[in-house]
Amino acid sequence: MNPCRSQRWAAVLLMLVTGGLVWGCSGRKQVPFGLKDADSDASERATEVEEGAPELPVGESYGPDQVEVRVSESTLVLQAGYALAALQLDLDGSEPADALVVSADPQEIRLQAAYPRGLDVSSRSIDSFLVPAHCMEPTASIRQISSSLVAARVEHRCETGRRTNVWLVTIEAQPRVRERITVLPPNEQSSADIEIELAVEDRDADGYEDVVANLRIGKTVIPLAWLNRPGGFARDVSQPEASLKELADAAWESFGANPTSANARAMTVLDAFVAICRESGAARVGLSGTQGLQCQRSPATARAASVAMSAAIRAGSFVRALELQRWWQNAALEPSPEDRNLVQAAWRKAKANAEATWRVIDIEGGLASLSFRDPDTLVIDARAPRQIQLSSGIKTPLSAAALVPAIRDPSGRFSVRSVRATCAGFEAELGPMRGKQSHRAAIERRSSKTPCRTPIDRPATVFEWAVLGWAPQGLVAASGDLLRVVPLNQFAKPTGRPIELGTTSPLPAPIRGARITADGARYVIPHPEGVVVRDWRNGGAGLWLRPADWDGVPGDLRSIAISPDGRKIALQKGSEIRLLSW
Amino acid sequence: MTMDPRWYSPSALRCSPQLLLALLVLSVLAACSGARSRPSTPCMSDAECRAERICHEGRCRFVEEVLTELATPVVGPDVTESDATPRSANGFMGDAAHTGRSENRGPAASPTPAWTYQTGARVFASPVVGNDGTVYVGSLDGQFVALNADGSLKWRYAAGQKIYPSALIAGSSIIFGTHQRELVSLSLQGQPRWKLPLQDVVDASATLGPDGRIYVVGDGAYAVDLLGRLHWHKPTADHVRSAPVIHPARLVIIGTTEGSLVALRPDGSVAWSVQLRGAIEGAASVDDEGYIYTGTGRGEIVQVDQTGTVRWRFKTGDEVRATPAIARDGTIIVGSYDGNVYAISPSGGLRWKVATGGRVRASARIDADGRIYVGSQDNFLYCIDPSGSVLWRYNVGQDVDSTVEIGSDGTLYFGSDDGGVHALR
Repeated sequence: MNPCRSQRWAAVLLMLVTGGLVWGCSGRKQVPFGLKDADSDASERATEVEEGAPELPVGESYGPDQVEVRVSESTLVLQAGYALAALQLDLDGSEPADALVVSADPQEIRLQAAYPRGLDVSSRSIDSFLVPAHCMEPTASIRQISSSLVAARVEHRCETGRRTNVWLVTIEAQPRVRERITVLPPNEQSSADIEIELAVEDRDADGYEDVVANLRIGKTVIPLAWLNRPGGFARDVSQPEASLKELADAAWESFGANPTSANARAMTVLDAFVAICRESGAARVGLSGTQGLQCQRSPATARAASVAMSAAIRAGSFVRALELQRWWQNAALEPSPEDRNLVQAAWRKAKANAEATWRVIDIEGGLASLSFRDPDTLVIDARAPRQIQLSSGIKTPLSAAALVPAIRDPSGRFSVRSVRATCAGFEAELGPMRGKQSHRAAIERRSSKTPCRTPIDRPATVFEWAVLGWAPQGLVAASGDLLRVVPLNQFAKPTGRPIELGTTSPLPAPIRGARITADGARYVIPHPEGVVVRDWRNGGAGLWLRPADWDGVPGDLRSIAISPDGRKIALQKGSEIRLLSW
Repeated sequence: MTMDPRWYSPSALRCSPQLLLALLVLSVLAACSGARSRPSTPCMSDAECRAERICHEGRCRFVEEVLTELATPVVGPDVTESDATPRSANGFMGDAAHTGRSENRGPAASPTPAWTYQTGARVFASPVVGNDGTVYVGSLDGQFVALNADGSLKWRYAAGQKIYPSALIAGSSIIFGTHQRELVSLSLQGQPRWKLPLQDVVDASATLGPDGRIYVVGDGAYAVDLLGRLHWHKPTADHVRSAPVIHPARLVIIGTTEGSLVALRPDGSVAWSVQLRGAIEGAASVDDEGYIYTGTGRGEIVQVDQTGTVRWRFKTGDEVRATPAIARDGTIIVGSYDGNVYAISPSGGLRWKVATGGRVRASARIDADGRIYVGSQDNFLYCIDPSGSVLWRYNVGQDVDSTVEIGSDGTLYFGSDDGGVHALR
């Protein structure tokens, strides 16, 4: 063969191969993981999958006790449980038609494929999940949602509401579950109604159908998308944060003009975060049996919390604002400096409920523990312990022996030494009034989901968990507006789990402590920008106290006490000990 | 009679090694025999005590000894030893048979309010009075209070969840269940002794059995001792809202919301179960002959014998949720949602009925003179004499679903939907 000729042939062959490759690749647009270069009007082409869409088959649902399912001309007899729904369709590309069957027994829901083989029907298990004992009366529906996918939906009636599971299953000889989406019934943190609406659309404009599960949480819709990729479905991780950000930004922008509407928008973000994200600890939406989607950091939710907090402060709901501030304690919800500034400005502008005045009564460089011995006597436990008669201003040194801890048990044998922040959570350190022995009682356990990388054992700050006092029932602890009773027996040993108290719950009494009155009716919550006094007799209402020159006194709030009559507050801010009255 | 001086002279002691030995043996025996009564070892937990002993009140003690002590009523400062013997009024309806009888005399003439302690929600439970006159009661706002005889607060326990049942005073312990799904035991000073987590909320009062065990219901029946140790749990298909009643034939009887009256043996096994067709929401009671009475959601009062055989049914106009009280002459007194309070003879015939203006949810109490005290949802508390004449009625202003307790001085204590704990005398 002529060498030139053979080279020409080789070049033609190379061109053909290259051309074929290019053609082949262009047939499926290469899409990076994400949607930046996706067709912007993809959503317009979304095909909402509607019940009974004429072009795609819808399965049959059954009543209870159905143990036989027709599959073409044959019958599948279930070996266990009963059938809930079945969809006839061709799975293996050969006549007659096969079926996907959802069946149940009290503990389990199963999905199986059924293939007629002559007079018999063979079945193959595809997936199953367990059902909690309190969930009953399962119902199911099954339908084809695209040329390659079937959705099977199972609903249960549970103790607190409805539980929904949706399988996304491929149509092929051996069907596979691409995803199982679960919506759990309402819980204490999330009570909104949640609906799933499935849609099929080419979200990333690669010519392949993607699946979108529109989660309707109250009035908010968060689209969760699964992108159809050569290697299988990949969840679009830009959601739910992208949708939450849109809502949070809208709330932020409208706050100045209409705080009420901004608050409502912000609350939808918080509700959606709790319902969807694993980081909330109370998520109701789950994938493949896990509870909650991994959202990691959510600046949008932190922003929404700051808007809601500012709105609460502006409305005078100070206790509510403190409650909302707990959102920022979640590691996923670190607020930005702008978020913090918004809230700080709201606290500074907050209209105090009462005209508060304060005066310096002493100076203490170190940390002082303050408590009232009676309405007119303040005890300062510091390097040089002393007491001050408030009416006369007379100071009297106190010996160590004369110092009686403010928080002590009813028999006067044990006292609270400190509250410690440790890897186990927050603990009260307790011990006999005299002696060095001590033991600890858990106030709040650290979530096992939050790892403790560096061992810690430090005193809790004035803004973290604090023990308000000691009642016959045990310790009453508070953090912001959160209240908890740590039940203790007569030897100051924990007796049962801590009890969460609602905002209007009466507190145990009588109670001994520096931050609470003996009848448990009034107690004080420190805040960097002022002081909140809560009064149970007024339905747990908070009184916001902030003297006009609060910022003029340098330093942070370090210690605080309320008088036994609940009418005066002593506090240490920086190095000054002041008496606040209103 | 004279004594031989050799037996008691010091020299005799010195010179008699046998006597010395005998004294030594006697002193050792005396020491051994007093081993249990010696001051026991101080402790802070059971782990510090030797086997078979537990740490109780800071001392290592034998379990039986502690159980006996816990079951012994506490003598208050103004209470004599004889008064401190176990009283009938130590829990819901006065005694473990739920007869509703009281040894005290309530007011025969129209009473006046002595005090009201205000809680934040309905008071459904019946107050229970301790030997020292302290009144114990829980509220649906989650607080359980101990009130002094003048109505001032002695202490308050915060349960964090609703409290429906009345308390049981068992010796020196106050025991009640809550919607926190636990049974709580407190000392008379309000300090927790123990808490037993249960698998369901508790809507009914606990009952102390003659075996010293506490019986309580939720998702079935539980038997617990005074140290909080669970002996058995007999689950039922449905939630149980009726306080267990103790039958002299060593039976614990409960009613279920699906209408079964179930008798359990002391080991938790079922002796018999009878379907009464109608939810049993109130507790059953047992008369002096051993007959059992219960109301049903179908409006019937049913008499059942100790073998579980239904002997008669008495039909009222609406459902019966109250516990039938049993007068000293055997008359069964019970209110119905049809608004009437019925007096039924032990043979099942109507003796009389008194119409109130509202549904009667509360159970009746009968004082030492046979007077009947019962609240109604027409906002009134009624006093009815044994012949069925209304002696007086007192307008509380809100529904009275709480069963009355009669104090030793004749004061009537009860709760109301206005959130108040009321004292009338």
